[in-house]
Amino acid sequence: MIPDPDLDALTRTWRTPMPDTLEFAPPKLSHVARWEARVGYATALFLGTFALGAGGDALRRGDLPQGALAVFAAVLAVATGRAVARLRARAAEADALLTGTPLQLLEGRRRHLQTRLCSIRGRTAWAFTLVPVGLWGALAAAGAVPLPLAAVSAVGYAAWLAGLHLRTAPRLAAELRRVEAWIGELGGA
Amino acid sequence: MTDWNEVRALHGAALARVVASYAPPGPDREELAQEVAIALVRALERFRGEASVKTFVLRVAHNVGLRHALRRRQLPEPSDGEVADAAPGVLAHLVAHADRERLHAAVRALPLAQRQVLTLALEELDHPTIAEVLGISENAVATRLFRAKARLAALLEHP
Repeated sequence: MIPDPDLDALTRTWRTPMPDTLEFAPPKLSHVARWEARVGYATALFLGTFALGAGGDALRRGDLPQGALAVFAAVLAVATGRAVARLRARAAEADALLTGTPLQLLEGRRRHLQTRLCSIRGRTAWAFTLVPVGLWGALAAAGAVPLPLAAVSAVGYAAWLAGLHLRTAPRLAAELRRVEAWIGELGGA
Repeated sequence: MTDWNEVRALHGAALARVVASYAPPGPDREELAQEVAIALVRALERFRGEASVKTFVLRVAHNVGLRHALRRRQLPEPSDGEVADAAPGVLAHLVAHADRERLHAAVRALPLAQRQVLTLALEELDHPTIAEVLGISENAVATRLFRAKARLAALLEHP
């Protein structure tokens, strides 16, 4: 072959060692779920504390219906906390399954994994939207939250949530698509 | 039978460079690397030794990279047309002043046909093997390689 100094120089730079990008690393769902879990915890803590305080006040005044609604809202807040904890745990579990699963076993676990991923998706939607909205609605209906505060906080929460969703939701969706592609490819679908 | 771990140990670096020629650093590159890995795990089951392992894995990687590039392409592909020839040694001089990522970026800016030939040449495949991997004639390999070097020099000189 005719010596080519240009190609030789190119080859030297081209072959500079680079990080190994071919590590057979499965997607990290737990990493994506971390932010969602934090938001869920913060929302649950804030609303739960508020609801308990309002419920306590109402009960001291002898307003049983309002007190009961506020306590119910506090229970919902605890449920939110529990839901996001499970969301994160399930994401971590899915990661562990993907990481430790030999290729030949993936087919057998495919349905199991897909169920888990659907569950993660469902819980994310639930924790992010239904519960906070339900809580706030219950508190406002009970009169435990002054209307201006309810309006301002609802708008603020919605804006915050929208910002966070814009940041994390596409990533979560992309990761889920990647996991599904993995399952499809490796499971021989 | 050749398995993935063996391929990765022997050709992992070359595969990573192929991936870098199709995707910029970040999630896009990671995703393509995963796609290449998955394609190879599956393709190696069918490998019967018709070509060398290196030729086989580079062919698979380039096919996956090409699909990825075509799927992701948002800008029109640069034309495969003429670029002023660079005098011998000019490219070597430019490359000496470019780091690896800049070189990768310049390679990614090449038209796909030139990029594939150049990256295979950089993996020290000879012209007949490159022609076999890409399913083109040796003359086409020589022409594309010549054009790729000229365009690369232009890209490195005026990024």
